[in-house]
Amino acid sequence: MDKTQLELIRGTLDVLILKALAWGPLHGYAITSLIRRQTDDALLVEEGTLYPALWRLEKQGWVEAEWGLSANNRKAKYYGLTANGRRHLRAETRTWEAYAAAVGKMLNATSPPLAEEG
Amino acid sequence: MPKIPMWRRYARLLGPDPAADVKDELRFHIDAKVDDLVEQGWSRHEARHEAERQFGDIQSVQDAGERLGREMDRNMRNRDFWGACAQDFRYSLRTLRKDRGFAIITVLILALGIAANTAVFSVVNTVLLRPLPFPESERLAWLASGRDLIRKGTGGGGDDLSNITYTVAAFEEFQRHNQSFQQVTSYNPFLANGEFLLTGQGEPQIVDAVLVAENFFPTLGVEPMLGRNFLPQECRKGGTPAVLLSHAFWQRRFAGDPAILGQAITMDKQSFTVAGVLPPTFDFGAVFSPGTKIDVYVPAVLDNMRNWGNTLAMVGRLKPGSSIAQAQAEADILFPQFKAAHKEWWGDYVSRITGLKEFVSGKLRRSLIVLWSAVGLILLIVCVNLSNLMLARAATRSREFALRSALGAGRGRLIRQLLTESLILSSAGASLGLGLAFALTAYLARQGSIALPLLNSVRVDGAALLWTLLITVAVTVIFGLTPGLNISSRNLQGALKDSGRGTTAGQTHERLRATLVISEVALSCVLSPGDVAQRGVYSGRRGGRRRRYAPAGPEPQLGVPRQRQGLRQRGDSRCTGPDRDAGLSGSNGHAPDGRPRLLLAGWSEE
Repeated sequence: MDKTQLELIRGTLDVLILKALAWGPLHGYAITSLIRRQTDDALLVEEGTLYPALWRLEKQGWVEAEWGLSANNRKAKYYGLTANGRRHLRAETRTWEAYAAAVGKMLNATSPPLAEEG
Repeated sequence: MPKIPMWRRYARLLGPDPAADVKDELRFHIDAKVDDLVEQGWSRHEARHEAERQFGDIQSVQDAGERLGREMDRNMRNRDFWGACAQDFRYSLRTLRKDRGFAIITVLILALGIAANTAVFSVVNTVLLRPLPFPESERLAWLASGRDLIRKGTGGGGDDLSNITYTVAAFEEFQRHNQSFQQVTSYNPFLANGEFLLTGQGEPQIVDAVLVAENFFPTLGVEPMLGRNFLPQECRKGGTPAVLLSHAFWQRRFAGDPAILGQAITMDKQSFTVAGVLPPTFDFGAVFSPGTKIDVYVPAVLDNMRNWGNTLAMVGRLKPGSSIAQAQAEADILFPQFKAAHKEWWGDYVSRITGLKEFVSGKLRRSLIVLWSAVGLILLIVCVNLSNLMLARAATRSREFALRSALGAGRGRLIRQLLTESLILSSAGASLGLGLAFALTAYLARQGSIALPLLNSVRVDGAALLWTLLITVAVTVIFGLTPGLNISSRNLQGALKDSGRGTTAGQTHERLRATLVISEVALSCVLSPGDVAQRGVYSGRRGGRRRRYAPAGPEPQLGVPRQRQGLRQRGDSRCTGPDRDAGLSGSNGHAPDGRPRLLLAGWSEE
């Protein structure tokens, strides 16, 4: 694996997983490949962090798991968003966007801010 | 997502298995990756190798998964359990509200049963279980002189004062020669000797005093709250008379004024200096002479009492490390020696040494245990009655239960429902009962005239609360489970087919009810003789204190036959040897007035 690959900021993985499940239940492997493809291979989720994160989300009640059959007929554990998980995803998305916008404003700044009045 | 095949439903037949789940999930991940890699042209063997390499430390992930899985499983079970409990609870409240009469009667009956049990336990705890209210009280011992008399059955039992007391000479000899005791002290248990007429400030008043040896309070470990203990010169013949006040008397007569210290008060026209005030926690009557209140403590001038006969009750504090048995063995040697040395002694004073605690509560042990069992039986009767009520109710509710089990409620769930109902009822009963018990014990603790030792310190404490909790749980289980087992074993179909009205109780129903009634009658049969025996404990109330309100003569009228029964009945203490007294005081189990003495209770005061 490349060192250039982006390291996920802690807490980001959770929201990525939730987002990946927004279109419907998926099993763990499908989640990694969805995130990889969606981000054009920029984000590679390691298995060693994915599964503990999934289980943590399950414990918190944001996703729920169910056994099902995969496309090639193997039994696989499918994770789906719960209503709580959907709400959490919305809230986290807002937070993340605000954060990214703020960081972006800072990093893209071309001149120092105007002196504050008073 | 494809549907789960039928067989998967049985995979968890033996309960959840988080470990297997985790393993399956991770294996699927590897397999899926291998498939992808093979599609990209890898050989299957290399693909598997690569997939496992990419995964990294699979074992630690698996461990973490198992831990989380177990936790979740536990949480889920807890949630299910408490959810069901809350459901049962709400449902029970609803049904009980519908059946308000039943609920109220049940709670009241339970409250009475539990109040009786808690109150009696508080008394038992105070009298039998808790140590005496003195520092290191387990080292305090009581000496009774009349062991031979008691053994031969000629004495009037342990409560006959002349049979347990010593002469001044015997006391002094023992005090001087024994090795087992750190200190030996004594007091004069013939309380009638200690009535004084207090004159001076305010109304003349009879005060009850007890004559105690100089080292009485130090031996017990009681420090005066104000002032000091007796001085040696206050205990000598011709010394300066002094007095210690009990806390209650100090409050009552002197309004708690500390200025009384060092002042003189006049009792029987004699002047006594107030040396100090004892702490409120010390109640002589509660320990040594139940049912009496002592106002003042006067030093016993031993030289004056030398010719009074058996007048001193001995209490000792054992040396650390020496036991009652050692003290007893020593006393068995010492007293015959004293007797040999003093030809003029009446008795041989062969003594029996017991723990002071045993002296205080030993006589009551049996009756209190009987009382304790009696209230326990009452509680059992309460349970039986309530089971019966529940059963009658269950008969009318059988359709409801049949319906519930037809809808899938398991037997366990129905029993749990009944247990929840009984738990609600018994908790309500217990809270009400505790309130009653608090009131009852508070009332009892103020009844100084009931001849129960340590009564002043009776209260509902932590142990009593624990006891209440215990019996509440027991009650819940007993009266919740009896009808529960019955209901759940009933024929479902039969109950459903029965129209709701007039459901005929099945055979088992009848049998259970018959058993309940029979056991109830049996319990009552046990209780009624027990009840008679018990009256001994509470008949210790003295019919008002008949005081000698005659103006005090130059001498207290000692030795005059008094109306008082019991301890003071044998008030003529100056001339009683053990042998004389045995004949005088109705030692054949009858008080002098011919009334049978309730020996079980130990004291025979009217």
